[in-house]
Amino acid sequence: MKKSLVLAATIAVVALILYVLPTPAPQPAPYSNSFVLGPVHIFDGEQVINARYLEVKNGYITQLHNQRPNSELPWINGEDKWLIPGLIDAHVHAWGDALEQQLQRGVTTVVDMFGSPEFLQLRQAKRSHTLYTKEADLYGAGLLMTAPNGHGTQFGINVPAMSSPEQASELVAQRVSGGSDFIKIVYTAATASYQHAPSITKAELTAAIAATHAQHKLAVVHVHDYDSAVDAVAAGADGLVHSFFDQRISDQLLQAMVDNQVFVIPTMVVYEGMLRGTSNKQILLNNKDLHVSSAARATINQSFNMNMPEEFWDNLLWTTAAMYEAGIPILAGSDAPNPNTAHGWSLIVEMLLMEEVGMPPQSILTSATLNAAGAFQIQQRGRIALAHKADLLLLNQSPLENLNTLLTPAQVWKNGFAMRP
Amino acid sequence: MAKLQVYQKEAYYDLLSLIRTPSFFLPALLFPLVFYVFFGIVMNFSGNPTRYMLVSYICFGVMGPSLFNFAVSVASDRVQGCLTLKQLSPMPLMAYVAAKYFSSLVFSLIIALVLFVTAAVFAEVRLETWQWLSLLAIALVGTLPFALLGLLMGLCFSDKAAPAVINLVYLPMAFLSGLWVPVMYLPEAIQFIAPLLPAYHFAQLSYAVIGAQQSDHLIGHLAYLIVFSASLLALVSWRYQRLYK
Repeated sequence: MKKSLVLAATIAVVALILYVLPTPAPQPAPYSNSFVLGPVHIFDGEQVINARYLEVKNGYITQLHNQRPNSELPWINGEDKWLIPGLIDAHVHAWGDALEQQLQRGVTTVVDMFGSPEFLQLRQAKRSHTLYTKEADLYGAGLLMTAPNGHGTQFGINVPAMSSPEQASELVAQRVSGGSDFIKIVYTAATASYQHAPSITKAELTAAIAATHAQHKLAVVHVHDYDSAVDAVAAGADGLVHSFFDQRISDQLLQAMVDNQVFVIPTMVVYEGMLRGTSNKQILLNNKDLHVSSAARATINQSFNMNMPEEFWDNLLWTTAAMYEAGIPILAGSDAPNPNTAHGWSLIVEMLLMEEVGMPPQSILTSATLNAAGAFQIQQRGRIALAHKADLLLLNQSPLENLNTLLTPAQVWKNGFAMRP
Repeated sequence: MAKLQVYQKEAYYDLLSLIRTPSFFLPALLFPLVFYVFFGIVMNFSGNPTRYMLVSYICFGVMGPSLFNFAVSVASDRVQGCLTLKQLSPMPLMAYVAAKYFSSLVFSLIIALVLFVTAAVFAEVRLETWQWLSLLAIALVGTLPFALLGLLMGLCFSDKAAPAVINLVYLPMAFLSGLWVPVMYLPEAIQFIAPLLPAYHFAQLSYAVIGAQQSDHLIGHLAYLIVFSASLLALVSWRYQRLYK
């Protein structure tokens, strides 16, 4: 008798504990990725458009209206706020809960420049549907291409390295079959004067880019200095995933980039940590209204510990301005979670640094939406238009007048589902 | 009916004997908790999210009791003659084994619940109810292969050697299976060992509950554990026959 009482009591206690364990905030009902949103001002990724109401069905934008439509769908009052496409971070390194952190700041798609192919593969299917998710959509390079003991091999991930131009086809094919959406190649010119890890040669770079194009993929190159950028553009790169600051860009390189339609991701925010180091404090850490998580603070407060001349920062600003003036597509990318950066937050800091460059707010918004989607051929994202995903960001003020409003968005939608803050 | 009572009595007394040995059960319960709090919460430098660390340490934590409970007590029972005594009694030997498995399940249950509550309170882990339940179920049922491994070692080694051998198996196995550092970050030369180990497959099934599994083919992990358990059962039978028949 006593024993069965003890048994019953134990079962009751176990059940109670399991019942009381906390669950995440409840998932929204299935119909709530269909709605009518308005009235709002709409920046579609390129410009402000005339429409004031947006109709979303099952996570896709189905119609734009000038007046509130007669519809059975639930109506979300836009209160005349500003709607822009969900942001795209064109340069990240994603693992763990990075994609959740990004989405919380309104970044609905990210482009990973070196990460686990398995992590990427597990998320590729969800790019093409609009089921509820707490993660930003992921496009990625998978494993980068680098020299033996080169940059990228120091993180403990096994990267098959390139030792000769003949290996190019096979190495690219390996990555493509591993799920890579494009190929990222690391290169430092032999003439670079600073200390750097071993790099592939110019011939290997050219072979790698050619092999990538032969297999119908985009080839982007990681460079850190002017000479390397010159070589990369000459070798046929489609994009540079970092800018450079050791010297200002020359007219020849500008012209070459324009002629070859090369895009650039300056990643100024990670360079700012090396060259100046004041932006994060100013924009994020001293602002009491922002809830910057301890995980974000940890990477923001890390530093590369380099002592570089002040003029390098001026070089970077000058070069980015020159590239913009020349019509080279500038993409916003944070290189999170490297030192001085954090997922989500740093894309916004990057956009505020573009203001420092002198880019107009409209172009800055385009660099974080349409340009990234266009450069990486990402479908149905980066724009507010029919048949595009309802990945949206609602802002309290006009971002064209005050870009800082991106730090405190009113609402984020992913696949048409409103994200809880 | 009487047979069921025998099973129940044996299970009850085995559990009672453990409860009456606080010098055993307190460390057994606290060790996984301390490990989790230190390396999963306070000093989590890996950048892995908190729920991933919780799953890792639950797997690590429930493997221990099943290995030790079986190996050490069976070895000492065997060496001291208690096992022979039990065989002379009308008690079916399965009752002995089942009782020990029951005790190790109780320990695994307590460890899992303690880790759940610690994670929820101190590491802000939030999971759906089906996830909590699934993790608990996998943690409990998944201890079977390790219980069998412990049983085999208990039948093979002396009571002095058993704890040392268990530690030699338990800790390296946990490490090589990616429970402390994910497999892809282990030195390349030893990564091939992980899929050979039951702890790896057990952990992958648990990770699948939170979407952190490394591959989509979960049925492979399940198949491995079933085949592994069946082989161990065969080995245990054979060893037992050698000892006593």
